[in-house]
Amino acid sequence: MKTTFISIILLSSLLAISFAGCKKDEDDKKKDPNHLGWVYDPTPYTGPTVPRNFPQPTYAANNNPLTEEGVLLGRMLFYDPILSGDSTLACAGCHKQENAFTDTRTFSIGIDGIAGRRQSMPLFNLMYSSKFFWDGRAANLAELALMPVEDPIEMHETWPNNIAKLQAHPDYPKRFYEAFGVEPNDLTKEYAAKALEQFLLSLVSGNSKFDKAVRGTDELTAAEERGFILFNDQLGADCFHCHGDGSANQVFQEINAIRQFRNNGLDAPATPAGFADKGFGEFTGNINDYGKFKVPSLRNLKFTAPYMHDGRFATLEEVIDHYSTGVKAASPNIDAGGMEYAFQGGVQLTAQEKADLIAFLLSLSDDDFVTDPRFSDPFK
Amino acid sequence: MRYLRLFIPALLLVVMSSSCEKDPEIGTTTFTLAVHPKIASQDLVLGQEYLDQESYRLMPSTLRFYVSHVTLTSANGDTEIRDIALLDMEQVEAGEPLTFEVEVPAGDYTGISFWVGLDSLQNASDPATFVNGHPLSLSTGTFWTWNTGYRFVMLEGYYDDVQNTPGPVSTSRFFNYHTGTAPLYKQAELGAANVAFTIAEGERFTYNLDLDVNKMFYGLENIDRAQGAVTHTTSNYALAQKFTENFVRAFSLSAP
Repeated sequence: MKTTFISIILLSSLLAISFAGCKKDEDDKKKDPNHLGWVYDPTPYTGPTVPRNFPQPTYAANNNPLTEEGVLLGRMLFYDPILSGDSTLACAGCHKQENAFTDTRTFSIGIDGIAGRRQSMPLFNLMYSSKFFWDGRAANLAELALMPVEDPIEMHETWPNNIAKLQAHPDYPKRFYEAFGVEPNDLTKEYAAKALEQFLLSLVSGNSKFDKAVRGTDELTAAEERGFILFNDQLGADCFHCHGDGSANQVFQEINAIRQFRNNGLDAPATPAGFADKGFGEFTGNINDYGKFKVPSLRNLKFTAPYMHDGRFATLEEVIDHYSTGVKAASPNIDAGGMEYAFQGGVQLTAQEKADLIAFLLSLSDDDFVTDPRFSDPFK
Repeated sequence: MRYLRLFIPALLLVVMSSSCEKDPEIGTTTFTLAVHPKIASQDLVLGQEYLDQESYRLMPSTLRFYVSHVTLTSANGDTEIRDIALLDMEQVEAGEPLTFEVEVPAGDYTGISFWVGLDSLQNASDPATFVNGHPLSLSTGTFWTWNTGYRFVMLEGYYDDVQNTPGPVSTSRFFNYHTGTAPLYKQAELGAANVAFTIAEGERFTYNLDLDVNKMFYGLENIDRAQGAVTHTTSNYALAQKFTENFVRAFSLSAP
């Protein structure tokens, strides 16, 4: 009898202690570490989410749910030159909102005046990617966010320096606490990466003319309609093999993780080793990946010139000419999945078809996205 | 009261164990259809070069296909599996078989049959309604467009059109067979690979089949890659049909 009660009491106490432990941790986090009125009680993010004509996101957010505080902090870090070596260049310096977060320069210039070797990539709808940069070297957005800071030809700063700068800042320690419950002394680059990851994931673009037409609030012109049909016709422009089919995948980018890197026949060195830029192969080390690059989204092309990984095409006309007659069939590792018409240089479009296709592609541009105040410089 | 002392921990154990994975139903056992991609007797590894049976060098880079309506035939009534499998070499380690694991009743079976591809209803699915990772979701990269449905079989790679070249294979000469549409939904022609088997209760059973890339090109009708390297079905239906007929005959029983 006595042992029964002891068992019950012990079990109850264990349960009570474990619950109390959870609650205490929460309460402690909400407490103000420096008695400055700080509160860690983040609000779930309520900004733009996945448009209803988009498929389910494929990006696996790494235990980093979006919050109002986290997204705002990420946005501040994105626009603040404090993270660069001489505090002159922010992420936004080469990823401009008016250009769908890319750069109009063929190659962006870092703080030491050195140009990069690839075009700055636009940033939106990143929840459908699984490897980042033209060469796929970042496995997630938190990794991506850390890299340009330490790149000597970009922001050229160390993270330990940046953490010291952020800890000494009059405002950031409080914001990190409010977003993540991290005390200033415990601040690490991973928290900055989490904030930037949240802001990057908040960059949703899904309000183009095409989207509005899908939702019944706008109409495509006859030329845009014809372009859309060409886009999806494998006897036409045959774009859909690599850029989404426009029916189920209206993100207009490759969603399948393995097929996000392809060689579209821009160059034809005699051997794979001859590629001036080995792209995805530079990251994987696999000779069969030399010359492959990330398949980009076809949204917002109105704002993102120049095109291709090296910005070689200044206009959409040049891009379409490449796929029409300029594909180099002899390119090593040319994509076996999508470049069906490489043998004849491309899909052979007429002038009218090219014009229709461009009209359709431009209907995928989202003017609201490039002016949305939720994504703009928070310091202005 | 003495029992109460035992009852509480027992209850806790029951509650805890009830959250674990569901056990198979009584009388059923785990059946695995294991497909071993080969080139003749060699294991197929994507990105590696082989000489085919006519000594042409080739390097497959993608092999994935749907298997549906797997049926285990029995004198006591057939067992048809409702699930669909997308067997994809990019999802397994090199040298590992492509597997489809299901629960079936234990017992004596007279054979097996399955279809390559998706039936008309499955093929009319909206991929957006499936969670990522599901064989019919967009994440698999098999959905084509709303008017053609899914790609049933995807074989891609590179080849040389001259026999006995020393290698490496020219990666600027590719082959690409994407088959789909209702007429190319075919039952696998297993022939001698369809054999009787017994599944003992409580024991796992694996039915091993080889799938020979040679037979996809040298089958019912030979496919000369130099003359017919690419089809996305509607772009070259005759070639897609030829490839499909060969593909469904490319299975054989694995050596024990």
